Amino acid sequence: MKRRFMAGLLTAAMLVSSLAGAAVTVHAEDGSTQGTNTFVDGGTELSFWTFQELHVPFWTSMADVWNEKYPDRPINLTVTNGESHSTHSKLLIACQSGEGAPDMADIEIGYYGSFVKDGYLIPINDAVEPYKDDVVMSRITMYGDTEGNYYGVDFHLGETVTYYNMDVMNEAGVDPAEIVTWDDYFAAGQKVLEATGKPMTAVETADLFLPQAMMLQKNAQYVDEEGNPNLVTDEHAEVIEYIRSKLADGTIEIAPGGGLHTEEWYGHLNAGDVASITMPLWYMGRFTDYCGDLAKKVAIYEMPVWNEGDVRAVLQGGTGTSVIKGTENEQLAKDFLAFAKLSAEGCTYEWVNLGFDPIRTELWDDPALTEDPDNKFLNYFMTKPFDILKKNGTELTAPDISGQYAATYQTLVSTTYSNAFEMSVDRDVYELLQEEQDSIIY
Amino acid sequence: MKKKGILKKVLYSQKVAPYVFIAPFIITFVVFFAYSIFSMVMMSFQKVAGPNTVFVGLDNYKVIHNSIFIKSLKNSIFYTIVSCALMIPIPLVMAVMLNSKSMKAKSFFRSLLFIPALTSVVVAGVVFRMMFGELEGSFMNQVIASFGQGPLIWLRTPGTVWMVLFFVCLWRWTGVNMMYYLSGLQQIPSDLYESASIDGASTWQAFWNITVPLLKPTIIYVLTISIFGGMAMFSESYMIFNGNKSPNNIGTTLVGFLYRMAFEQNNLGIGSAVGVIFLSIVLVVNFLQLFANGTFGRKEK
Repeated sequence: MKRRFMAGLLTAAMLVSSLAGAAVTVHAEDGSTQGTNTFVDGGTELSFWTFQELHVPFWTSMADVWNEKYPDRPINLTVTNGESHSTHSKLLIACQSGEGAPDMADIEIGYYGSFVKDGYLIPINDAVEPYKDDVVMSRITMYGDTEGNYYGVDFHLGETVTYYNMDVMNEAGVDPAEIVTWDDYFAAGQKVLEATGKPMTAVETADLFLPQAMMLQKNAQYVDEEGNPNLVTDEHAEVIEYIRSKLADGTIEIAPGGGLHTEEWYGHLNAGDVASITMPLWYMGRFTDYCGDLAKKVAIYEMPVWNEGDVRAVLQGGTGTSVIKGTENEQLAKDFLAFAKLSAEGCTYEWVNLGFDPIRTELWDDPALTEDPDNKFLNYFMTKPFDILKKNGTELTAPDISGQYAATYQTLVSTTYSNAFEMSVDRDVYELLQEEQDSIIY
Repeated sequence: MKKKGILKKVLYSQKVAPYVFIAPFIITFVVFFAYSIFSMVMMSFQKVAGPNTVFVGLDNYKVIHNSIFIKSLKNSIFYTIVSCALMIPIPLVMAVMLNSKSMKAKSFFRSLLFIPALTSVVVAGVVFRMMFGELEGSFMNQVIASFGQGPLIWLRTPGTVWMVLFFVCLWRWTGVNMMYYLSGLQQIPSDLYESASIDGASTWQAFWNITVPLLKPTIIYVLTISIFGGMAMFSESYMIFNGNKSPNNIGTTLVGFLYRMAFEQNNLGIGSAVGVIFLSIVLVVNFLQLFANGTFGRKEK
């Protein structure tokens, strides 16, 4: 009997240990890199985590600029980069246990809500104050809570625009400059479809950019004022019905690969098989990196609106940099963060090297930037992104990412849009949205 | 002198020695697994929020009513059943073939089948994702095009997603299971086959009446690890879908759901509750299976 018990116990032990072994393999490829600024004697040590390799040189060179400008408050910054999912998980765990977290970190918008909701970040209101009049504040307040505190600053404005493939447009005889409303846009789409057989645009099932942009233009959000998931709204239903009808008539396709950041999609886009897409301005970098064949063939125009006269501008995507609770150098970290992201130096670096539309408004008129003959983004596109920024001004609608947005987002990109646009296209939209909302755990 | 005697007595004692030998395993198990399981069970009754952690009773277990939880549980069970149905017989047949005297280039095929197990699942996942791309130029679409079939959207239709997942599973684990079987096969004395052939038994009869019964312990072992492996499937799905998000959760498994709850949404309490449920299911299923196969009772008979 005793032996039988031991045998059982050992079997259990074996199972459990092999089980634990399987769950960790996903982190095995975590090829992290590190960067530091030029070492300054007596500088305060600050640690920084990011999930995007391109951000590492930005932070280290901004630390150099900071040390030059503020020799009395020098810093030595160590930036560690890792794969996105695992870096965010590690950061959450570190915050949760109150140990091992860095002083500052980049947090992707989809994860941001989790950090705000449990109070792991430090408000940066006072550090942002000096820059207040020079920047688009809605890009900063969106990383905040209902009490008026904000916790993060983005790398870019992330204003949503429409990119047109002008070869396709010319073949179909469409002038994108004349498109004002979504109805105009899809009427042009019909022409494109007839002339070339290509869809006007693509919608994602594994992400939310098009429906979110359309909803923001209707002033609708995915979470309500208390931060609870709020998918069952008339606006949301209208947007889904609208996209569904365009999917049915062929002017919208499901993006190959399910999203606009997949290998299949880049190949499809580069081959000129889709006439236009609506994405934030930071998507310029994807064109220059993955769509070499489209150089000087793509024009950027404002995104269409629902009704003539509506504000066309919304902000999408992004990464908020924040100061993590528990740091010993709270004030220094906050000031450095605000300087790096909001100063003219920082914003210029972001535009020149990363192709991010500057959050600082004076730069939109700075000929050194707007007329720069060596800029690879200005050289790639047929129209100037700065013209759109100036036209749209600073009244920009930002997504509400507070409260349960992180959990809501997970559901939207894994089930809601996949069901709405591909798997259950005939389901009643309200019924579907109610079911989706009920499945969110928070 | 007397002290040495005690040491000797302990080391040579038939009762103590086995425990000394298994001590390294037991110690690592207690430190790294038993303790974690204990805290997992604890956390499954808590709302985990750093210093503000509170006990919430059975609240976290309400997750069993969630539609996504049910879906991922169904996915895991379906995957386990089918993968066991594939991974028990196919490698067995291959092992028997590779063990047969008339087989040519045995070690070549043996290595060939084992190579996938040595490949990183990350690399394999990326390659398979590309192979099963949905554009006309993707490898698999070219293959089916040569049979006159139209391009398929492999990774966004439930049927084909499962085909891909089982294909990856077969590709990856056939070699491993085959190795287990081969080592079992080599312990079967060849005189049994000789006497069977003298008695006029056909190859099929020899396989069914000698190979299978004598391989039973190996088969049970393979079944046990396959059940657990099927239930714990996560990385394959994670890599094929480039993240823990398959369209409409067609490929989300219980572990994927756990990962999403605990680490992507920072609900460690609910994640732990899912973990407890998961552990209980795997243990119960495997105990039932082992009892049914007589693993525990055999010695006492």
